[in-house]
Amino acid sequence: MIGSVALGVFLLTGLAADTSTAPPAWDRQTVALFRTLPVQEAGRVKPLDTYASFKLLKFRGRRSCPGLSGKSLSPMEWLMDCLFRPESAKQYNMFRVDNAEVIVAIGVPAKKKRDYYSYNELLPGRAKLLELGHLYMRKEDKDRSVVESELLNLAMNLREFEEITAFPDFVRHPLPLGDSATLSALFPGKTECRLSELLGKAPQIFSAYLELQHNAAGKEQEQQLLAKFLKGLERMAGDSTALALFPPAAGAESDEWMSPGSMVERAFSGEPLPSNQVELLGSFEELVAAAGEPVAFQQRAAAFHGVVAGLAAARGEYRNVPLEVAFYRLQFFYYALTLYVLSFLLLACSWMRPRSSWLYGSTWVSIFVPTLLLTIGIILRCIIRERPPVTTLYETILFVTAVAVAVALFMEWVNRQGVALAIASILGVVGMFLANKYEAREGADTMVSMVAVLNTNFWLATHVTTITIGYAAGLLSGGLAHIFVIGKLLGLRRQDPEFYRGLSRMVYGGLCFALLFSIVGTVLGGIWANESWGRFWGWDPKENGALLIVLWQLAILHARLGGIVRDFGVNLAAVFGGVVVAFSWFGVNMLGVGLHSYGFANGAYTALISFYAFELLIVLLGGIAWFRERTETA
Amino acid sequence: MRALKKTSDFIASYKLSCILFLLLMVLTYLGTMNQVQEGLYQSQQKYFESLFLVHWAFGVVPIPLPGGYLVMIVTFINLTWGAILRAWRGLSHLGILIAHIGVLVLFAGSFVTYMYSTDGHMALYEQQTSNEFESSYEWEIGVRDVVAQGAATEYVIPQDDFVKLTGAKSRIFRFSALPFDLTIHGYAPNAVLRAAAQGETAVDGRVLEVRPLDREWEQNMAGAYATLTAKQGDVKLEKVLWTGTDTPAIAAIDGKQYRLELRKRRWQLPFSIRLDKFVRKLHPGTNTPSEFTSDVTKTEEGLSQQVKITMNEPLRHRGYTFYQSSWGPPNAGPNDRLYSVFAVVKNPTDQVPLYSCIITTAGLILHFLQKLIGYLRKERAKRS
Repeated sequence: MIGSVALGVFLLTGLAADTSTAPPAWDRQTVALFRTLPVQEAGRVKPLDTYASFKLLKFRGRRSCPGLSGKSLSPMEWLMDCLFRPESAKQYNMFRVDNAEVIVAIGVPAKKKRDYYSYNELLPGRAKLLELGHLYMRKEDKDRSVVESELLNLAMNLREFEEITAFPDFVRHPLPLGDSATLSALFPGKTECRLSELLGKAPQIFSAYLELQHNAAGKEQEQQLLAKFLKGLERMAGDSTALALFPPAAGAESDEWMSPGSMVERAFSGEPLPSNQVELLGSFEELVAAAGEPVAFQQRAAAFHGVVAGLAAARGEYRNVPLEVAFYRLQFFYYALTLYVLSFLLLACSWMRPRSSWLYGSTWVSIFVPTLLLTIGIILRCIIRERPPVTTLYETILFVTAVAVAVALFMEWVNRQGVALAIASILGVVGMFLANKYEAREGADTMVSMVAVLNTNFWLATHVTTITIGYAAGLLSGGLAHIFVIGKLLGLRRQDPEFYRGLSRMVYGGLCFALLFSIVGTVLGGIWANESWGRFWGWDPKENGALLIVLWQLAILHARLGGIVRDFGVNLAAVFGGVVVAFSWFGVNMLGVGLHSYGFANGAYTALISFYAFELLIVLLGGIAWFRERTETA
Repeated sequence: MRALKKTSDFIASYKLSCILFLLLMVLTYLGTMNQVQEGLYQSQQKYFESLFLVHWAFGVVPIPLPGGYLVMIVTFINLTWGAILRAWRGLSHLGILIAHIGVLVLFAGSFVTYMYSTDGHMALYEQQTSNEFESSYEWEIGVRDVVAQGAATEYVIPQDDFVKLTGAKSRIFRFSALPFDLTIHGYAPNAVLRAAAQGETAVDGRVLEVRPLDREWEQNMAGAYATLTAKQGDVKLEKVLWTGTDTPAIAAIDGKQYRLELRKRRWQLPFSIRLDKFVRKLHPGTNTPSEFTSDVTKTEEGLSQQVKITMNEPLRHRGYTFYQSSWGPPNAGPNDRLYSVFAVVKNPTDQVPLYSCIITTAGLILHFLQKLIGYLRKERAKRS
């Protein structure tokens, strides 16, 4: 099915490729208009810019794409090329392939092991790609090999790209009216007409069709002609579903925005189509038709934008669109990562010159600034979504990083040994790297629609926030404990027991802080579950994960109280605590069972196992160092 | 005397606390991982709601372990005794004492919940009314006179009384008012009823074929055989009971018809609930539900009241709480008739976790704040 539809698209648009010249750059104002054009996707109204940037991220793994002139295109410019200059877009190296085996498998000449391919380069292997993609799709996630998963991804990306480029085809290639007498009567003197005109007369066409169905005596030929036309229309409409650009009127019963495809489906299933949507479709057709004339195109884009944004605003759906565009344009989290890396370099310099207060101060600032960026980013997300800070796995990464770094900065402010500062910087780098990686890997909007049970800001704000602060503090103590363990292991600062005592106090403080939030967060989760499902505790994997954190932290603190472990033991245990937190945070989601398997992070499995292994190795080596120290003192 | 003191010290000790925490961690971890193979219900029974268990490491090495209940009971004793012995250690430990009291409250509340709460579900189509709800996990066998509708007493055998009657094991149940004795045997927690092959011992031409337990406990279809032996005369009837069918087994003895039914355990409510309207909203253009809402009418002693039940906003009445929990049929199309499912819970200590949470939080905040302030003072003194 997919193959045949796509083949049609290919025949319509794929043959007349003009590869010689790079198209002129889009006018900046026009691009700005498209950026803030609202569109409904995955249950949410968002700027077209967000749509474009996540699609490009999904295809290419990054938010930019080199154009034909060699200049880098922004996601919006890229999407505009896909929609309005598909022949150019098909030449962009936009499909990232991490494994050349995928390319070999579909019989296309491979470039480097990891490389980018254009649509036209993949075209000779398209049939094979879709065939294999179909085959692998039927397999369960866990049964697919890495190459198979990547091939399936590529096949889906390719199809999605085809759907995007084919979206305005109904304007570029209007459907011939044929010889139907019904259509000739409705559109006198025309051989083809625009979709908006057709939809304007849909009730008449539909009733004529129904009538012919009931009583075709003597009109068999007309019935066939009309049926054939409608079939063609249905096929054409099926290619124009990628963007739900047309909002319903304010106060309409349905909240669903329409695409040309869904409009046709609705009009020809006998449901009335609001006239404003048909007009809007007409305005979009004029926009597409003017794609080659920059001035007219900008005017029509402005007119179309004005109407759509106005309708969305009347429905209360436009309010945060400009803010969201600004949020993504400012790339808070990308800059935060860059600055954290910079802070780490500064930190390394300050280790070499430990007495330089100037360097120490700069390191402080260099960590404070990205943390501020991260915090502003999180706050903006809250405003845009009208939600508390943490609702998805992605947002936990942002929030955990921010909290861990903030607490570490507080510890540094108190303790001023430079250790907490080092951990703040490292956690900042790791956290932001993970967040950016996760976003690129998922390649989908991170501001998703919430399932019904999460439809409560109160519990999201209390339980989820508290438990994630618990994760952050647990990881922070684990991070600090690494310095203790590694320091002891390498025999650093042997003459400075106060250093290790201070460090242990911080680890202990972090554990107390973590325990408070883990216990409260876990119990609050139970209370929420009791409010929603009527049971406080159900041994769900995520609940158990939280319980494991609580139990481990309780065990450490009680062991310390009872003199069973001392500083060294507490630190070793805190390192292992990081493993427990990681298991609860990500590990249980990978089991694929339970109520919280929302963030089934594919491929992250290996990374997680490596983390466990690394941490266990640290604990083991630390154990050896502890034994050595004990025998030395004895 | 010294031995007694030693024992007492050990029971209250941090060492024992740590051992218990670690044991509970091991159980929690194993019980979580086991869900991948055996599903939630069975893992819960095996690791958490048990006194002892044997865990098969890698499927081959048997490791005996104390079960979740045992560990929690001992933790409770450890906590209580520790709290008594160390109750007052001055204002500096007040927060810790309060936090531990909060945890004790949680334990006590959970114990009451375990002993005295009932939970199940009620599924209603629009305009349907019901005054009973059924368990999601437990079975029971009901026996009653068919003709005397409504007024007849139903004799109920609870699950605990027949759950062990697998294979050749059997047990006779005698009811003084019934003209027969009932023998239950061949119970299977998951089975299918199929036509018997040649040579098989069949009941009415059918046999129960025992199946391995499903990971999802709700998918299991229990079955059992029932032998009715008339108290007078030598009539002996064999019947097969299976939860996968809507038609109960009917047996005629002494000219009367009796209905035997193996089904999910049921509870009667002192009021009735009618579903007036069920609304399921999706996020536009997706299959992600954004809201489930049921408009119901609650009727008690002739008095009716309309109530809305939605996710996170249950209906509470006379100790029962109705939660919007699910809907069906799962594969319903856009115009199909839907039913709404409520989780129904009667739990006297419903709100105890909340109180416990408040007490514990207050205690921990107090304690850790004291510690933090002390630490800050020390650090400042060190620097100045």
